[in-house]
Amino acid sequence: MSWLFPQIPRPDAEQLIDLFNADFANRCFSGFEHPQRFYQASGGDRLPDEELKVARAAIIDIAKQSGFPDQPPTSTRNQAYARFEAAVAEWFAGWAALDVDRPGVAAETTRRDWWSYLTLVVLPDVACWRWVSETQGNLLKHERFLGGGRNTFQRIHRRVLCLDRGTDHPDRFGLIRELKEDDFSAILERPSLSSSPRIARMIAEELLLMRARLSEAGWGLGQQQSVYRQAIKDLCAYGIVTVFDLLDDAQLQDVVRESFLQCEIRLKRDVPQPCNSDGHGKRSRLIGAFRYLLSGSSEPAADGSST
Amino acid sequence: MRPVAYPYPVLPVSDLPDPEWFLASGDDLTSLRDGIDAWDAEVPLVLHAPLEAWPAFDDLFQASGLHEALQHATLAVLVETGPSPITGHRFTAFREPLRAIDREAGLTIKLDSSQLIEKVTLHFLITVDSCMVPGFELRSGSVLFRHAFSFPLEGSFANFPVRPVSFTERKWSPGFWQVDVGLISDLDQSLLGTLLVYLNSDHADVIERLNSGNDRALECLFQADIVSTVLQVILMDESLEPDIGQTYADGSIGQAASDWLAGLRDDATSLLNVAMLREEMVSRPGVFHARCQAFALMEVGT
Repeated sequence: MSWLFPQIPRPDAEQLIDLFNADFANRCFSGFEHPQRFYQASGGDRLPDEELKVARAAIIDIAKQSGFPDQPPTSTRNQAYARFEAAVAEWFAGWAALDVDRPGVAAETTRRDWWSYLTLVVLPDVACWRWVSETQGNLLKHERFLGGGRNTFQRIHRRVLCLDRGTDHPDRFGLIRELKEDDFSAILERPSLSSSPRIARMIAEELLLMRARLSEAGWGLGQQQSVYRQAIKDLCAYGIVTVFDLLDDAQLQDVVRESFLQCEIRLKRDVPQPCNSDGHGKRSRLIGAFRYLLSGSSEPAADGSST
Repeated sequence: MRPVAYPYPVLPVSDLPDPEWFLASGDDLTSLRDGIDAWDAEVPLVLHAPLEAWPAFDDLFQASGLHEALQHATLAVLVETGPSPITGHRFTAFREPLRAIDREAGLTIKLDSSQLIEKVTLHFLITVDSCMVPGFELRSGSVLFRHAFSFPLEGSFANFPVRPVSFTERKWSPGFWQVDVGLISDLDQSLLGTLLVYLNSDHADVIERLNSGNDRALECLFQADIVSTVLQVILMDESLEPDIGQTYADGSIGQAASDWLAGLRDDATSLLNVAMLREEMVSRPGVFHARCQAFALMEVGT
């Protein structure tokens, strides 16, 4: 059975964000009703509010494990948010309303106005907590609250749709747990690859294998990033003349692996081999500490100022 | 592998007419060019593409120097659907060896509607498995022919925010529906965000008939009411200055109003401009409303 999810029109969603930005006190949950709440005029039953209550309670519990409603300490903030998002992804996968385990994608679950509703009406406090460190002058970014690829919860749902290894896998959510923020963007923000979950998973698996190989050889995250960025660009270009969707698993894996390996070979040819000695590691850390002192931390503090 | 030009022989587009897609209902075929108004998430979608205008595959491949590739060729249809590419998904709806395709019968696919949303793009593809043709080694999945066709799934009205409420409980006049037009300060603002249609839940049978897609007359009245209500608001507000043929943002109320006004004008026996339609709306509202009905009838009927 398809559920019809509650939605709010985009202009009303934007008004809510403006309200949140006008006064910090508005950034709170005030019930599931909204004057402009609507449901798609199509077959199916409306998702009962009871389900929304369950979702709110579960996600708040998960957020609390990462410090909600208090901000996690700056030093561990990114890890805390990553933990939170991985746990929400697992919860979404198990939430019957989203019907993740069915064959194919339940299209109703991808409606942008539903994710706007979930973010702004059902879980506004959690969404504001998640992105407060990103705000400048305490202003919330619309893209995190309106439905879309960067919405607080829709992007997590998309990770589940594209990167869930399936119920039979011993580490079903390993990809979602192991990939980093930039990795998700590199894969999921390229629809020619990520619109097919099989292709997205294959690339993600190869990315992690590449990471393990290069880490073992002493290459840093920066080099790993340039390898996968180039490999994914190459795959996009190759995908113009080849339909990856029609390749079988072995063929697809060969194409993806070849792309990554060739980029690794070019990296090793063009960039000096890293040194693994202790002395070099200490020197790198010292240089890193100097840079930190000179330029400040990479992430602004909660109040938007640089530390 | 580097992103460089990768020339290889393909089927000549000039020899292959673009496939046209139809909605199939029994023996009836309806062109998908204008989308589907009566789509429902719980009803499978049967689509058909006639192929009898295509040349025989043997002749086509022979003439293109790809004869060796024919036995390795596959005809496939990929479906891409979603509110936007970045939140959408793609799946293979059809895949058969090209030699197994009966051109006279055409191609028919049945889609699970619950996997579809807002916009559907059908990618019609002829690809090959790994094979050799004179001078080239073709890799698996290489595209020999590609055609993409998109259509809006839910028609021009299905996305309207509608809200069933009991008119009795709210002590409203007991009509079947009420069209609520929000404040319009700019014609580039979103149509869907400005409108809200309240359906009277005391008349569940009417809502059911509207949803069924089978009651053309009721649908026509419903659409005519929306068109005339929105145009009344816009035409009476002199600051908005709507005009036919003017460009407004995609999905905006201005774009919809401009299209509707053009439809009303073209429907008239003599060409009317916006000022004349405004005058008619004020001095002869019955005629104006009948004109909206005729326009809606044409929209529902097509």
